[in-house]
Parts: sequence; structure tokens; C-alpha cells
Amino acid sequence: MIGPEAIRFDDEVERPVIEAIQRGDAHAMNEFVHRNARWVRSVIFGVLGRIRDVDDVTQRVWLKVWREAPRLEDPSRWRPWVYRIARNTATDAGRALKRGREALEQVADRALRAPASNPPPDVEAAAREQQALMLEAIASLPELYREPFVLKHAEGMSYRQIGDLLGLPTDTVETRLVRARRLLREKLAGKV
Amino acid sequence: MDDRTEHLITRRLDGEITEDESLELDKQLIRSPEARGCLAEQERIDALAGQTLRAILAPDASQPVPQAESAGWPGQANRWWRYLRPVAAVAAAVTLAVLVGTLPISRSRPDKAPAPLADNSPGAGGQSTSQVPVIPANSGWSNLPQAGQHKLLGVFDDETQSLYLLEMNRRSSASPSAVMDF
Repeated sequence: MIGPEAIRFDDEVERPVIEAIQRGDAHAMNEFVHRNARWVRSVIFGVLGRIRDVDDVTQRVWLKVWREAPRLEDPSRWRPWVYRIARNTATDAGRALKRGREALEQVADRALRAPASNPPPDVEAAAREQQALMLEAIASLPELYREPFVLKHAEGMSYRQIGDLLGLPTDTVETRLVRARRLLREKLAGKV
Repeated sequence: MDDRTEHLITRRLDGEITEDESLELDKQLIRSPEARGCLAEQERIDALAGQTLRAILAPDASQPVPQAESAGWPGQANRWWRYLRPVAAVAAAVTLAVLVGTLPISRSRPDKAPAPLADNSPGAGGQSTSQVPVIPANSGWSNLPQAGQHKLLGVFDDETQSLYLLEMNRRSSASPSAVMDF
């Protein structure tokens, strides 16, 4: 095997931090947030498909983690626990937001505005537009395919890591990634 | 393009392909222009997707850690309070001293000037400023004013961020009467 199939999460490294959080150590919580922010945000975006709401939902997730940490019985199983919190929170938020809002225009809007607020010097308007198109296409994927796709591309997780996190066999992860890519090729044909 | 080739392309892009599968895919790529086009297009899409998602999902350094005062998690948003705590401690000491009536100015005793304060005392500033000697705990007990001149002494401990209120009696002994945490 050439790829990172054998690489799994080393969640024991984070165990002392989790135990400190369970004792109410706010500094440990800050450390934990900074180390795990991106994959949690990836999960939330994977579920929501709306970048605009990721910040709000992420804040709610960290609050729940902080409040519910003392009830986590096995600190070595923190990752699936945090994943469940992130997923459930994002799902609830998605239901609430779906009632009053439409999604894709907001995503494209945010994508166009976000780089402008902190513009890398070499990024031109055309590149930003391509990013907006890409984000819109990813957002339009069915959640089933979007979630593993985002974890793969934002986090570089292996099939096994994604499977561990989502509770799926690696074959299923692969199949979903194949279908996600197929849909993206169709949506973006001739555009990027 | 068949499903098998599509799966092999996906595995290669994801770094999950075995050596045997890699050889199989290379043969297929030689044979099929469609497979080559698919691989090239997918590489482009993957690169753009990774770049876009990492940029969008990266936690903003300026974004504050969740504010959770109600949950008891201080977070970064409350950082300013750490710097104000010593000031609040001194203010509390002065207020308390006035309330219990131990300040010379509240007793109108012009014949007795207040004792000199320690040089590094946050409350020190001559007779016109705070009359309550609040001194850092690490400056040692020898810096305490003479017994009998003050009944109440505020000592702010920088390390624990606590204000100790000490009652002074005429026998020159001090005993903690209250500890206020900030």
C-alpha cells in the first residue's frame, strides 16, 4: 500500500488535555480548541454546506464540549464524542436555518467576500471567482458525499480516518468520494 | 470510462492506491484518452477544492474563542479582565477601608499623619491619595507599616490575584481577616 491507509488518529496524545478540561481547566480548553478547530469546522461545513453559519455553529460546539466534558466516561474516545456533538449541532442548526433561508447564494457571497477582507497579495479576482464556484459546487453536493469530501480535502484524512470518524467502512468512504468527484466534474465542467 | 478506472483514479488522487492497482491504472491511462482527461480534470478540481476549503475553514486567528461566561469557561474574550483585576482589587480595598471607617481622613484626626507607604505599593502616593497601604505580598512582612497606625491592611497577591485584608493590632501582629479573589 502506497497511501496512508495504515495511519490512524493518535488520540491518546490529546487524552491529558481532555482530562484537564474535565477538571475545568480553561487553558486546556483553549489549547484543545486551537488544535482541533479545523477538522471540527470541516465536519460542520460538511453537514451544513453553508460556510456563513460555520462560525456560529462552531462556537456552540465548543460550549457543549466544555459543558459536557465531565460526563465523557472514556477520555481516549474524545474524537468520536466531539464528532457527534459537532454533527448533531450542525444538523440542528441546518434544520433551523432551512426554514428561513436559502443556501447557495449565501455561500457564493461569503466566498467572494472572505478573501477580500484578508487578501493574499497574489490572488486575483478571477481566482476568487473560481473559489466561489468551487465552494458553491461543494455546497450543492448531497450531504452524504459532501462530508467525506470536505474531510478529505480540507484535512487530508485517509479513508480509514474518515471511516473511523463517520462510522463507515473504508469501501463506503471510497465510493462516496468517487461519487462526490463525479458530481463535481459534472457541475464544474468547463468552468474551472 | 468504467467504474473500475474511476475508482482507481480516486484512489491514486487520495494516495490510497496499491502498487498493483497503480500499474493497472497506468495501463488504462495509456489506452484511454478519456481516462487521461478525467485524471487531469480531477487533479485540477482537487487542487482547487483543497485550496478553497483550507482557506475558508481555517480558524481565523482573530476570531475569539467562544465566550462562555455563563458556562464558567473564561475564554480569550475575557482576557482584558486579567489586567483590570489588580486595579479593581485596589479600588475594593479603598472602598472597604472607607466603609469600615479605618481611614484617618474619615476620622478627622489631623494630629496623626498616616504611616509612610512602601515604595512599590500600588496605593502609595503620599497623603493626598489612598490611605490604605496595599502592598505586593512578595515585598515581605518587614515592609508593613508600624502596628497601631492602621487597623486594616490590604495586601494584593499578584500570583494568586487575591486581595488579603489584614487586621493590625497594637501588639504588631497581623492576622488575615478576609481574602477576596478577583
